[in-house]
Amino acid sequence: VETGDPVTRIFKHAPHFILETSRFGRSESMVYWLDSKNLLETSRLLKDGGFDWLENLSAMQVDENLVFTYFLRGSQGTDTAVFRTSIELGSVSGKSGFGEDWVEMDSVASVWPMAQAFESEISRLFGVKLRGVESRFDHDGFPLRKTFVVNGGIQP
Amino acid sequence: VRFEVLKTDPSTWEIGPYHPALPGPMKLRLQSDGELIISARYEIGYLHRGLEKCLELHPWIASIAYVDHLEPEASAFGEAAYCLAVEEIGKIPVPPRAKVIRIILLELSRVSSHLSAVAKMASSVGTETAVHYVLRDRERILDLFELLSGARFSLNFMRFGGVASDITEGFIERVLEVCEMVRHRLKEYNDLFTFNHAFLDRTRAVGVLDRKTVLDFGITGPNARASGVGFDVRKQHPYLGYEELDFETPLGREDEGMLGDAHGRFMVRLREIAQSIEILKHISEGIPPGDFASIRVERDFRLPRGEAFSRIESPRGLMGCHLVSDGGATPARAQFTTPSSAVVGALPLLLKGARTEDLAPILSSLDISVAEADR
Repeated sequence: VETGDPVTRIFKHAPHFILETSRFGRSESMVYWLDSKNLLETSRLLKDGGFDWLENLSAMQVDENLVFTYFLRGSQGTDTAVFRTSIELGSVSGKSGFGEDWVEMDSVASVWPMAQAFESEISRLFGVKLRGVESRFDHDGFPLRKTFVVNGGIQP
Repeated sequence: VRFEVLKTDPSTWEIGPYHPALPGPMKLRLQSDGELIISARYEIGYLHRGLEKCLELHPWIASIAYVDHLEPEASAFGEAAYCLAVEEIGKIPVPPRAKVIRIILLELSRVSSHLSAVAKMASSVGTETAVHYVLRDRERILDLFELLSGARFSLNFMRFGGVASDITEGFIERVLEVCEMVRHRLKEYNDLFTFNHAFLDRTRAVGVLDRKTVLDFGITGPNARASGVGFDVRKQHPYLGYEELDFETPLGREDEGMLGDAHGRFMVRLREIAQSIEILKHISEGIPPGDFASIRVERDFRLPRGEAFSRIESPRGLMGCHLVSDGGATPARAQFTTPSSAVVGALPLLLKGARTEDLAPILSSLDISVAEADR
């Protein structure tokens, strides 16, 4: 990470929040991996540090984990940053009622209000319960999980 | 004189999912006190097509036809965001000629989409003459799409590393003709209704979107620019060579009414049409020679492992595509962020305090695409 990089500045006094860094694809950007337990606290630090705009929130199932990628930017300038956290499927005891395990995580909508639209979609399509947010699961299975087979329901 | 005050409870309206005042299939649950909306909730998902899941299930070569449906009225933008992400992962070069053809297509699509927004706005305030005039002119742009790609909607024209075919003979001349026609028509629209007192009464100081709401909800595009937030991906993160083009990003003006009101959004779109016309005239005059594509995509096309996040400026604002490839025959994940999702999220805040008769002009001035919000 380059000196003077805004993310380095933000985490100068809390470097333990960043578990790992890697390059984002072929781009110049870095991906900063976070512990999902510190998600809310890290989000507040980032917002206070100038990343006040959650440009995108993307989720993906990789093996037995759901990986969440937060694309951030500052509304004043062109600084961007990519943060990532993952949660193991079935980390919450109990089933969704459709034979699949929920995943539970913190909502960051209190930090970035624009997160609400992304989170509500992820919640319903990936089966994620957001702490403190009423979740609705009124369909059979979670379509964007890899175990969901179109027209075939849930893969055994 | 004694007046009798009739006490009434707030009434509840449920509008949709299909209603002419709505931008598409969605539900609005309003509580109103007389003519004043005191709370608003929305429900979307009626147009959810599982587009992102479909992309995971089909080979790379078939995906362009799917991303076309992200926003059917301006399908070229979904294609562009997706192709840029694929090209970044695969390090696929795009020839200069193909870049220019893409910009021509994108700017024509922007003009077409904004004309459609102008027609919706005119319809919402009952200016039927303007609707017909504007849609008549938009047809000329759809003719150009047909000449270029063979289709008027769902163009399926961009390809990884370029475009599907070269421009046809006489295409550039017709683009320039249409540019000139639209430039003249903008004056006609102004005469017809932009400064018409009835139109001003229905749109000024109505549906005011303040700067804080824009930033809180991540609203972009003409809706944000009308509120003074000058973010434009073509300027901040240029792609396809936009950095070499000289153009301005129109912003809302306080001297024309209230910053961020419905009229301001309408004016920004009209000015953006004029800017796109200038871009089109400029690049059409110097289209470089060379190939229209760097590779030919076959059925067994595969991308190496990797990921990319592309950003483009669609007619409604920031459109992004997060694409992940695991080296397989289909994308491992394709996810889109669309400007309409942000606007829909802000509706409860925006509609609270509005009058019921202003509902249709407010919604049409936001130019929401339910198709891209639902995906």
